[in-house]
Amino acid sequence: MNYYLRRFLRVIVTIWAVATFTFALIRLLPGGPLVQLRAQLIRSGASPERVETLIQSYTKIQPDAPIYVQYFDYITSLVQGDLGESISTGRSVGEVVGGALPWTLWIAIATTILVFALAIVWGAIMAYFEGSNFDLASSSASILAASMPFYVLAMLLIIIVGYEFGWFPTRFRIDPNLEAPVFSVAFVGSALYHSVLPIASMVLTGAGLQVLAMRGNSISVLGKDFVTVARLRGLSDRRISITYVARNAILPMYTSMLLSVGWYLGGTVIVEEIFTYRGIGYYMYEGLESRDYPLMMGIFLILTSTLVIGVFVADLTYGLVDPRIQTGDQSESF
Amino acid sequence: MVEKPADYREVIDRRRFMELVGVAGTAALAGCGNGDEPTDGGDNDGNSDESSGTDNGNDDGAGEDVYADVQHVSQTGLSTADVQWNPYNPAGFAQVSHEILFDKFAYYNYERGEFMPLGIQNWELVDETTYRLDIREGLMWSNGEDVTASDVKLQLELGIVIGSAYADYVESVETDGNRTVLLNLTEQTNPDILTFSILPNEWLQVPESVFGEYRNSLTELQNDFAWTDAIASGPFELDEKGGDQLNTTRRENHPDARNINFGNYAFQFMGENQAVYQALQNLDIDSAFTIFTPPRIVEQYPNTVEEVATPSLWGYGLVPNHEGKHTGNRAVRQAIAFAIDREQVVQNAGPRSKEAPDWLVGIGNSSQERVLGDSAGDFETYGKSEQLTDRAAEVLEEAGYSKDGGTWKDDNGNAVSLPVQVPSGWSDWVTAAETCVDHLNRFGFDAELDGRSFSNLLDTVWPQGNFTLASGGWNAGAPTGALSYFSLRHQLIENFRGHSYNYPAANESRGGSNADVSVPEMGDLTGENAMTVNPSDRLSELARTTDESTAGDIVLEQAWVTNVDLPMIPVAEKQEQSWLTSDEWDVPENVGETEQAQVHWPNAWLPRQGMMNYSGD
Amino acid sequence: MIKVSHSESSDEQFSFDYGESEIELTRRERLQDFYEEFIRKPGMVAWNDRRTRIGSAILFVYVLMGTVGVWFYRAPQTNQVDVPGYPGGRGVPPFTDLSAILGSTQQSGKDILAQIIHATPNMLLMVLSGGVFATVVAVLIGTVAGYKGGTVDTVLTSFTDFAMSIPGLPLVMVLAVVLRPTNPLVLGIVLMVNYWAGLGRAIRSEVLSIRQESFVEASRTMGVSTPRILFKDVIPNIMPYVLVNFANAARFVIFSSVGLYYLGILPAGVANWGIQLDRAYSQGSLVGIAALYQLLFPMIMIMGLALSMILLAQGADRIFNPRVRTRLAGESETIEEEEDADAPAGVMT
Repeated sequence: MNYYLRRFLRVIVTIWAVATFTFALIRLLPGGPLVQLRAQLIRSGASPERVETLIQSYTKIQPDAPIYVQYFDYITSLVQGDLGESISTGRSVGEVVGGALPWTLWIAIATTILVFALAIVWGAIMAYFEGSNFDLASSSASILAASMPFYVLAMLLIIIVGYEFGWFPTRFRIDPNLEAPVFSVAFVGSALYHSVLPIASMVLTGAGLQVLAMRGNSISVLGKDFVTVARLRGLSDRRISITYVARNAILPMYTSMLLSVGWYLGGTVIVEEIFTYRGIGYYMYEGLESRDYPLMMGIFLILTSTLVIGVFVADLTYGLVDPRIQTGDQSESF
Repeated sequence: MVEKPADYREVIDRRRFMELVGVAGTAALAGCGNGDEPTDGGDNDGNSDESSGTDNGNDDGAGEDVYADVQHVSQTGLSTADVQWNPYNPAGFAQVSHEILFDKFAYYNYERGEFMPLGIQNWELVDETTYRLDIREGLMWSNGEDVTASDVKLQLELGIVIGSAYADYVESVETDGNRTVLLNLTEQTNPDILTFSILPNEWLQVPESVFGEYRNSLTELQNDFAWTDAIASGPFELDEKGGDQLNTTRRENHPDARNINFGNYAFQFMGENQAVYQALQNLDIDSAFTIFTPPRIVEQYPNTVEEVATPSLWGYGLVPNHEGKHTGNRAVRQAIAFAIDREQVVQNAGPRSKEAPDWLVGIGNSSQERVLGDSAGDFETYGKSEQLTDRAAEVLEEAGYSKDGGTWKDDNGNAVSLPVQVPSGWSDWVTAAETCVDHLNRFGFDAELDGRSFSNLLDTVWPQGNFTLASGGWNAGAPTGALSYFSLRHQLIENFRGHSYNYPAANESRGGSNADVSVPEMGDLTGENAMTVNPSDRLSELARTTDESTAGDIVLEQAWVTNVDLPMIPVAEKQEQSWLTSDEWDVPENVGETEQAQVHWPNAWLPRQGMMNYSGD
Repeated sequence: MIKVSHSESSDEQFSFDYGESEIELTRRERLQDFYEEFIRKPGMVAWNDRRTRIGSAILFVYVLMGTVGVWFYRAPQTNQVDVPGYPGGRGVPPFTDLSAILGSTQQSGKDILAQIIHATPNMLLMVLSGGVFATVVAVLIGTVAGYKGGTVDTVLTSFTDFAMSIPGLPLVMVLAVVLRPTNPLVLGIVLMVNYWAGLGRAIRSEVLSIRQESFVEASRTMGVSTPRILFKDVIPNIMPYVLVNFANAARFVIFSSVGLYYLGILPAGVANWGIQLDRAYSQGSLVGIAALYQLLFPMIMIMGLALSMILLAQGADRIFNPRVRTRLAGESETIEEEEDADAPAGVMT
């Protein structure tokens, strides 16, 4: 329990640190967001007092107050869930994020799971047939896939699968003409259908190195004494591969998987823009493009918090996967 | 996306166009309301009277044959999830969908050179200082209230407060009955200027019941109020917003509804041109408004995709910062103009849709020859299709510059460095800018491309004057740019994209002080005899004169100022390319050549005329 | 972001026990030994791997392009291609004319090969500065934290954890928008601004185990100073691991810089494959196959460089992970003499 409590506190501290960081980025950078925002507002013809009020409502920062007051106000607003107001969309950042976050989570989580499912299955098969032509071909394909950035594959998928063959939609979260309630079969079906290409572009490129890693792990596990002993004892190959190899080879990939969630979450900023998929990645890009600092920083904060919390949750479940972690005290205090 | 330039096709009889759209003074344009004679047969449809609208073999679609479930899908470049319809608040303001939801005061027809009445059915100067607008009969807001004179009065008053183009000439606005609005002018004013600055730029989109409360809180109106549940005045009303598509449904009680036989008009969000290219090629959408489309793409379209090219009266140009170290020097600006081969730029950036201006003056391409007339020979062309590097070197050397190690330097030895800013998302502008940069470098300037996001440029960089050479539109845009008054004013006094270019003659908001400008006498670019004029005074005079020859003189004189002093450096003029499809829609045959389609934008105007209906298949 | 997962201990690593027995060696001999142990032998191992050779060959081509190529091949310019039948040199298809072997752009008649070549130097600089920055920071923080332990470790590890918890790409984008870096060296560093964290964390655990090795303990008991131990004993032993990750970091630099150029988030004044992609894309190369070459060549360039990095990383991995090497080379079946304790209890039953 102590361990989980400590982990939880660390989550809180990390989010707080990131919030402080965004505050510094908005407030302290010379010629940074605050300066530019003010220039933007003055030009729009607002009176000086008005400008200050607007800045405060946009960024939750009172530019004139002493810095610690600004900081306190900023953090207080965040704690109350108030992320400020987006300039370009005219909506509150919270509202924008609320409608978009689930879609991004779906993309990022589905991608992560698929990457690792693919990596584990394929990597294990390759390890099993180590040295065969299949192994060689798969290894080469994996390396090639890994050398392709996901946005390049996204473009190729749009051209070939989307435009030339017309198999999958190349934009939007669901069919814009669909009038179906959320969670109806039609809605979910359309949502899945529209997410195929965005997810595929990240999965196929991301899986490359993970497949190889899994292959390496499996090979080394296959060489371990306990596997040899198991073989000698006449256990079936199938049983060996499931109970022994899979388990021992997958565990080292778990951490790698947690890190990957962050990578795919970040990748959504590009993928969602390419596919006009209105998740928070898409809005973050819009915020960057239109220099909508409240939107941009708000989403940045949300992305980070999502990642931190996600890793925390995954950490909690790690204990279930790997019994060795129960104490959690991985001899870190050396 | 709207601004992305388009394509040139000789759709327009330009001679006729010139005759009709003239310099200030061609009174033909004033008061061309439909109270007058019907022009060519059968095209007065859509006007207030109950004229039947069966033209061009189209079924009128009236009454019985309405396909309530049929949806016309068009495109918009603005995220439909965040769209709103308060025209005074730029954040998320609708793009093109307001053309369907609201009735424009009047559409300008480029073929005829006339305004086609819509929301306002009649306009005229009733006496020297009173201008009158009559609202079309039978118009109702979609909340059931009538569209009244006080709605329009509020709208015009708000326009005056926020500084619309007509604000300089209108003192006050009053209503006269339920359907008439009277504008009291400060003094006698050329009615064209009022007509052009009001009719094509205003829609019946400001119901007093909604906007009345903002009469005295302008900052809130301009910053906070997002009108997301718009009350329509046009033939379609808001059905459902959000998601990636905006849906509207036909309003039975709109007078034009009888011309429309389909139930829904939708706008799908397409953030990039290539998405539109693809959608049109697959006939996924039914129309598109002003999408720059390279020839290669056009060739691949199925033949049921029809192009409508209309003048844009603006296009790619370079806006120098007149307080820039080098660009503040007239000789450098002239050298830049000489060094650029405009025809080459046009050939690169879009040969179908663009045309290089013959002379570098503050007058649209199509009017130049006529406006300059016999004096045309006195004006400098700066080399339309060649790099006149010798001439450029000549003016630079005269101004004390010298070429050293392949690079031009001023007398202090500073290289002339010219970063050229361009909105990075506008593909054809980027190509144009790239080409200009190369031409300037070849001549020996130190130029480089500086691509930034359009919104960043528009919001901060340009208004603050943080540029040396910005890419900007050099004319006032259609249709106002057709009047020399507006096109000259755009270059000399107040440009519409907010470039703070610090030109001395310009308004304060553009970094100037309405100062005098001293240029050589007409006919000699570098002549000794100087003449000093005040562009801002002279243009006010132009707006108020009733004497044609005075007007002509002022236009010529100010055109000369722009030609010599180059407040902006024109490079190309584009045409807008709009797209209609005829596979499921009855549009006039050869719609690209059809007079009625010569408006901005055909996919909003034609359905109201019964000329874009579902074909029933 | 790809972590080479490495759970084995470092028993088989190159322990260079000079601290214990060879204090008398001259400087020269020590250098020679160092070369032998840490450069030549691993180099041989790596070079024996086909992947290393292919990877190096590819990288060599890029380096050639980025250095000599830029000198010999013209810089990209509008309308520079002169091929009969193509006015303004626009839209020359690839492999039609020797003067522009990869064709020219549809819109402005730029030689595509020239664009590709002249984008290389900046890319290599970026890769170099980003890779060096990330590995140096990671090695410093990782070794110091791992070796020193205690409060230093706690502070450094917390900082690393913090940096690691920020999703990299969005952070880089925010910084790119705010800072607008144009210098490729600076850009490389910005792109790696928190990439080092994952690597630093991994290095720390490496160091934790190396710390307990006999040769390190020997040095310590002999009173060798900490920095010296770090540089002489610890860092050489994690070098192969660092190399692998340098290559991975380089790949990340390539992907993210091209991605940001492609999105138009980085200033577009320079030549970059991402900008080429963006131009081709926005000018409609996705519609119809005919103009696809404008997209394909920059794509191939990106993939080629990334591919060489992966191959080099895999080659370097050999040095580091002899078990994989020996198994793959078929030299012996197993070299398992450790770590059974690590196998989950109960597995044997």
